[in-house]
Amino acid sequence: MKYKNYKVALILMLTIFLYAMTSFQAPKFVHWASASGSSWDGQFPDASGCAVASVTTERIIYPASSKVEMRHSILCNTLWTRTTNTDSQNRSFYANATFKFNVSPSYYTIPSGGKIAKNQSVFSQQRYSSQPFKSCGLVNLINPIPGPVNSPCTTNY
Amino acid sequence: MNHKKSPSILVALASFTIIAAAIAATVIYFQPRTVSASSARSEQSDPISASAKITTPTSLSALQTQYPVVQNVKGVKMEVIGTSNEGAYFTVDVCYDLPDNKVDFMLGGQYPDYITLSTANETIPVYEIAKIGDFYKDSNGNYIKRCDHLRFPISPDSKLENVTLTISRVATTPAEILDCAKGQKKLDEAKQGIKVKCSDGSDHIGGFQIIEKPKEMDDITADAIAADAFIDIVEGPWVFKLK
Repeated sequence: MKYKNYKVALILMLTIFLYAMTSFQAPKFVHWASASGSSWDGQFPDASGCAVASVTTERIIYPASSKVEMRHSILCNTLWTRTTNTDSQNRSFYANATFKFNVSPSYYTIPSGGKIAKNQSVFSQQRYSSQPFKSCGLVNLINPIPGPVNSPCTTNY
Repeated sequence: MNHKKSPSILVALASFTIIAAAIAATVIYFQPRTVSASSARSEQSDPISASAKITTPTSLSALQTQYPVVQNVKGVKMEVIGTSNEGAYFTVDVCYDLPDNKVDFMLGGQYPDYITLSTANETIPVYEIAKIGDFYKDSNGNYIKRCDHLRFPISPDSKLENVTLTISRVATTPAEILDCAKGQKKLDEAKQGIKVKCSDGSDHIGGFQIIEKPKEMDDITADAIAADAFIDIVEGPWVFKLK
């Protein structure tokens, strides 16, 4: 009888312990403590869900007729490049978004394929690891724009 | 009988207390790890030169005493905390409140001429905006403030006299894949007569195109109105006399 009571108390205690351990902000711990962020490397931010919310811009440059941004997903802690046609004369251009990082293959480069209209943009794959990062891109009439684009670029991040 | 049971219950209670204390200690130990992603990044790298990098309120205070230029427009406090010459660039460091604690607000927007530097002989649109350090957060973890390093290209002929920085707006940035229905609804409610078509992300293309606008409306006006339908904006201007 004494042993049975002890067993009941022990089971109750373990249940509470396990419940408590799985309740404390588990997703945050798992996300930041593990290296799973690297699995985002090379994926596109829209397809991976990283571009859905809490996306900020770390860097912007304004080359001719364009805007080149280094975008940052706080959700996934990944970064990528977005190049937008902002031509004041409403012309369509070919575009390229290049994202550079510190290990081989050392860049992702995405040409737009066809011309993109004003207010349209092209974005690169994202990267979690291998800082420093740099965003490069441009719009022009050359097709295809040879990649990777080496200039103009943002300052390093 | 009851007296015989009590030792085992006491042992169980003691064990439970020890485990509860261990859980509490674990939680307290890991508390600092709930920092933001960008905070984690700023610890890993040096995104900007040491002279301009601001990672703590202490260094911010030090700069503020040298450069306390503050403007408050529509409840958004903005302060210039420093300026410098970096070769071919004149730079200005600016800190500002994030409206509604939204992390995606930033200075300017789609076009560089939302942020200009006027000198004695020219008006120069911004070339680069680079976030300095990490976002500032309040005790509840809300994003409250951001600092940016602005770079304006200057030529050897530029006269850096009567320098005025004008920031026309702070705004969110458009999403990679736009919520077209939401944007079109805003346009329809404004009765501007503009219809847009959005890219769906195929071939990694985002953004929108105007497919209909009033004949009398020029392209630049239509573009500006349509682009604003996809973002949140606080119009300024914030104007700073720097020299």
